Amino acid sequence: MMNTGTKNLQKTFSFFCPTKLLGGSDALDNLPFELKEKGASRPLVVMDEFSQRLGYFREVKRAIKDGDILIAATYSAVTGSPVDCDQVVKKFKELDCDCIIGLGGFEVINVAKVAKLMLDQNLSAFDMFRYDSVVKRNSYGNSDVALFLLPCGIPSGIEATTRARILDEEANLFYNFDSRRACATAIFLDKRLTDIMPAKALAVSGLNALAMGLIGFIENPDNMIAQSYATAAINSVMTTLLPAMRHNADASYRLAIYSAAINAGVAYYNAGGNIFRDTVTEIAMHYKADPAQVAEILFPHYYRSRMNEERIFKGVLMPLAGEDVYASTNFNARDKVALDTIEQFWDKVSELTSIPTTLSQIGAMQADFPTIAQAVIERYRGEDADVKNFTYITDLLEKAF
Amino acid sequence: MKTLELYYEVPAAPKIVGGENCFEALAEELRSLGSSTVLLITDKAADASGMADKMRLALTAAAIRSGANYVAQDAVATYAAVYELRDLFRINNCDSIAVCGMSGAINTAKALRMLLSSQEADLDSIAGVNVARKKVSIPFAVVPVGIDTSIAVTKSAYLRKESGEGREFRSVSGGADICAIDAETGVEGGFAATVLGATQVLCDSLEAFVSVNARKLTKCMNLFALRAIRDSLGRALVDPTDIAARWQLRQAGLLSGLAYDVAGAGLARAISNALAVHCGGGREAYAGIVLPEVLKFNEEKCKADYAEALYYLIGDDGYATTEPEKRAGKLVSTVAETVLGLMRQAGLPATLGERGLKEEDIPVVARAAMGGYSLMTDPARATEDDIVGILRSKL
Repeated sequence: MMNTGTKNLQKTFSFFCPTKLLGGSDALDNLPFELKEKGASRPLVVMDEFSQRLGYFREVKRAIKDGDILIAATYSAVTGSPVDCDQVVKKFKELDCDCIIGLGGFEVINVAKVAKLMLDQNLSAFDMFRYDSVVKRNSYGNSDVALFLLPCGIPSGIEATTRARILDEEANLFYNFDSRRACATAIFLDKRLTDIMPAKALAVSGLNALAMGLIGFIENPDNMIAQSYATAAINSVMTTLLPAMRHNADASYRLAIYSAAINAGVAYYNAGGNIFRDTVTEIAMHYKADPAQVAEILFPHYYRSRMNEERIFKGVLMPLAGEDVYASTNFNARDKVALDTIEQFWDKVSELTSIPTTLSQIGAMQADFPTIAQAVIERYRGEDADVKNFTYITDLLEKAF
Repeated sequence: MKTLELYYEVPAAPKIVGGENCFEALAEELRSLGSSTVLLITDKAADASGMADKMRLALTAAAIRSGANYVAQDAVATYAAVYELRDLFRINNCDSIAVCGMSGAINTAKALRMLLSSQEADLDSIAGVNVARKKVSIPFAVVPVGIDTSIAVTKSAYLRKESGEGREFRSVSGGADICAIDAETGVEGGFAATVLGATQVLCDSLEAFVSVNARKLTKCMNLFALRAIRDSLGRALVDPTDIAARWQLRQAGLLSGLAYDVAGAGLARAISNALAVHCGGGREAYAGIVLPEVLKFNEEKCKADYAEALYYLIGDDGYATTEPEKRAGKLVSTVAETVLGLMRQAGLPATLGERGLKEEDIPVVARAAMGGYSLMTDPARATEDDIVGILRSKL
């Protein structure tokens, strides 16, 4: 039966989250099993100083040893540069490793992902890091090196996605990658790999997860799968960030925020062209700032600038405040109540921790805004003409200044 | 906070594409995974709808050669079909599998993929949960034709042996790499088929929502599925050409499948599977009949969950005007009335007796249901006597 009805043709839709997520108590104990499932027995562990100093590497060694697997090689003190990627690939080949374990923060995660991409496609550093902001999509390759990520510190959201980012400080270039080959096989969230964080860091990361979740929800109006991830993230942050900040010694709350960040990242990066994400990226690159910090500063202004535009914004109140509030709020008032909820939450978290709330506090200068706005417009791949607009972007930056 | 410490796993999901050019995207993805010669499995529904042709064209355009094209004849997946396909795969030097069809064809393809990638000799040696180990990689694409798309994203398959016995297979290697959803050309099968498909998704969503393995993410998926059914089922039944409604229902199916892989199912699924094997047909024929009784059985244990889910089924006004302590009961009665009403409207059997179950079969079916994996995640922990009671009440 060939239906030729054209009533409301379905839009193009895509969702991708090829990474297994293992979380909760003792998740790390499953690492040997997951390695063996992929036929791996000679891991190369990529890590940073932080994870070594806090004893996380010791936990990983113990978990692997219990599974009768020996670590074949390590590469430490990662700074997140192309040199790191190159060195990891060289060591992997020289010592005949068969999988990568990335143990650490943002830089480690990205180096591990890009190293996997290089190995799968048999590419050298010269091939990979030749152009400014190169994006490699749907890359072909005959191998599929298993990659296991053990994030330490709150995940940035990039972990369970096809994305990776490398900063070449010397050349002052960012390289962005978007490839199935940059996906992790599995991510482990175990409370033994969390530690008490300064409240400020927790606040920034939690609000970043919330911002990613809200954007993921708003920018995927036709994608219920992405919206599910976003809703889970938003809900988790709203219910556990403040308790996490009050009871920092309780790893369970931290783990909930970690999980929220992963889910938020899935929704965030599954959205298509996204002006918020592009603006955050450009500001972060321009000032070498933490994207999480930029996101948590920018988001309330972004939301306010768009809250009247689309019906979907009224739906955001549900994951923020739950069914009872949503059902009892008049339809036309929902976006305003959502904005109030967002701003009150943001204010409360900011008060408790004195996190930056303006772009000027992170070193931004108004004179740079035209350049940044132009770069955002060039980067943006979406179809929304209302936001792909120089005045809109500069106004947004001014409001957040 | 103890609940946050419980161990959980969320399996990798296939890449899901939909809308315009979804077949082209699927073929391109298959190609990027190393496919050059595909074993294509279709069925009558796929051929009649035109989806099989779209698939063939897209594979050819992506320079993927057709090693063989097998048209599945049975509505239920069988051991015999899987073995036949294994031979076809090998004889034609295929390196990948693509299936476009209803649940029978998809279950067959999934079991084939598990068997080939495990390199085991027979299906019995990989039956069960996480028994099949993936030793070789075989690119695998799935395009569901019917309204229940959940089967395209789960990692389980259900087969019938020559003896008539049903076996369940669940393994990572049963999962697709890429799945395409085309709401424009997909088969609805008419009013009755839409009711059956949607009822099954409703049943699966409610069961996964209250499962002992449910997590925040899976609960969100289930709630979105419930809301999609609320918003679109009526429209799809009134106007089968309403593509937006069909698209929403298909997403509901995907969500229920993704949630099932994490949270599992429950009592209704265990009973439906046992009935399907004993009385014939797919489990969707029984889901709507047993669901209201199962909801009643679980109500005490699942009060808070049912109350939360009510909003997504009846919307603002109904929810706000129902007192909090009555919301669980309202969900149970609403589902019962709605499902029964739709089944009557569709002219579908509304009792198990009408579906062929006899009084003397009840103990056999109850015992078979007790052996299903779905019961392990049901919150109320039904006994064999409880199941006998449920079956008898719907006879």
